[in-house]
Amino acid sequence: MEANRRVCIIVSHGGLDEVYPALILANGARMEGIECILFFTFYGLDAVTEDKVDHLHVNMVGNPTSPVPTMLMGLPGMETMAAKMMQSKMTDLDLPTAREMIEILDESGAEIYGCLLAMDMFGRTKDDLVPQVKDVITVGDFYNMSEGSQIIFT
Amino acid sequence: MTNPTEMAEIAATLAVLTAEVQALRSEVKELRRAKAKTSELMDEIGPIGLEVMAAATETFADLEERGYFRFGKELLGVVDHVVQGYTAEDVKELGENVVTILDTVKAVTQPQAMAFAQQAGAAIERGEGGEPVSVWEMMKASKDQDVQHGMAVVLSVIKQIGRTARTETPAMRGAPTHPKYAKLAGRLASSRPRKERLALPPGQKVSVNMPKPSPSAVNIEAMKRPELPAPFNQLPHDENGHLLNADDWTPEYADAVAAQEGIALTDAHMAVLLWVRGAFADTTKCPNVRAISTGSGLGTKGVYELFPKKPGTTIARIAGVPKPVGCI
Repeated sequence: MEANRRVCIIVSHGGLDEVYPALILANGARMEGIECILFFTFYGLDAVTEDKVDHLHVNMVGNPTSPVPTMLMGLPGMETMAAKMMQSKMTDLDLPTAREMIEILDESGAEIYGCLLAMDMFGRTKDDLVPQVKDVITVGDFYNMSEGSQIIFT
Repeated sequence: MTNPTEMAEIAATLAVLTAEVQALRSEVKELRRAKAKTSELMDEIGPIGLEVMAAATETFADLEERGYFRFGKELLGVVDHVVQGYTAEDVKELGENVVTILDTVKAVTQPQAMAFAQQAGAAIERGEGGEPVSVWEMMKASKDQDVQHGMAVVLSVIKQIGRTARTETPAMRGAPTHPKYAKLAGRLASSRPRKERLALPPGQKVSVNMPKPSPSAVNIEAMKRPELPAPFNQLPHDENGHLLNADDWTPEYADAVAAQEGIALTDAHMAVLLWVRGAFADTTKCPNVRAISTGSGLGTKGVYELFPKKPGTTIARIAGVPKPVGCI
């Protein structure tokens, strides 16, 4: 019955806490036998950029639920520290890293695409991206691909 | 021609007339004397009366000059205003509060308070603090001991005002009398059931029709799935079609379930199933897809190749263990 069910997830933010939900949603879709397309755009592109995917940070400044005051989180190194803490917590829970998640997604059959406009804006080429990215596409291509599917924007 | 009887009658009448005349004369004499006495009195009183009148006029003129009459007139005007502006009830309230008013007046007229008012007035007249004060200057001024004490007093006054306002507000908000509230209340009463209508007599229980949970996607799939062939359909299963007792599992059961899922089991499949069953025996929990792919050494790609549709639940069902719990 779910032969044609498909979700398209747009990832537009590059924070560790912003990328993970999208990746987990995508993985969950695959586990439930739902076809999945991931479209990385703007800062979300960092999650599929070779140099950046292992250094995603957690955005704690301006985050009202942050346990540490915003003023302190603005200090140099705090973001890295918060990201490390979060990553270690995730490792304790046996959560794969962002890079591993993307590998898993690719292996499970999810399709990963980059946004052409964002690529041009950040001056990146397809060689800068992780090998799991299938193609760099435009918004028109994305709409053609996602016809009849559910679209999730993160 | 005259007879003696007639003569006698005339004499009698004359005698009576004479007596009356005599009486009148004495009365007239009396009156004359009284009149003489009165005129004498008037002669005596006259000058005194004039004197008194003159003095009184002088006094009134003096009072007039000093503004007593104007003051009185104004005062009457004030009284008139008060009477017009206040009802009897106001006056009654005034009577009730008169002690408070007197206390206040007493407090205000204490020498300290009077001195303060005088000094404050003098300060205003001198134009002290007439210049606008910047925030920085305010901070500097807050170090001044007098300012600090003054702030303490002001704060306590503000506190008192707030306390009064808080106690006043509910009374003011009580029972809205404006017609629009009545209209609103009427509308609400018709549209919203009131609490007392919902109240039940004691001892009676409420029967709530809880909405039944909508069947999940897995449930729908389980309902659509054809029944397992005998004798496997006799084994106890949960609502998602997972074997309840893992010990009931046999390779034949796996084959039957796999056929239902559209999978022909190979040795590779069976290796995964056995690994999952081993992991379940160790942890009493079904491993999730990530644990299966890393633990069995198959990798994600291998897992999805062997079990392309819903690897997690499919593997668990074929392996005869409960559905895996987890997001990855």
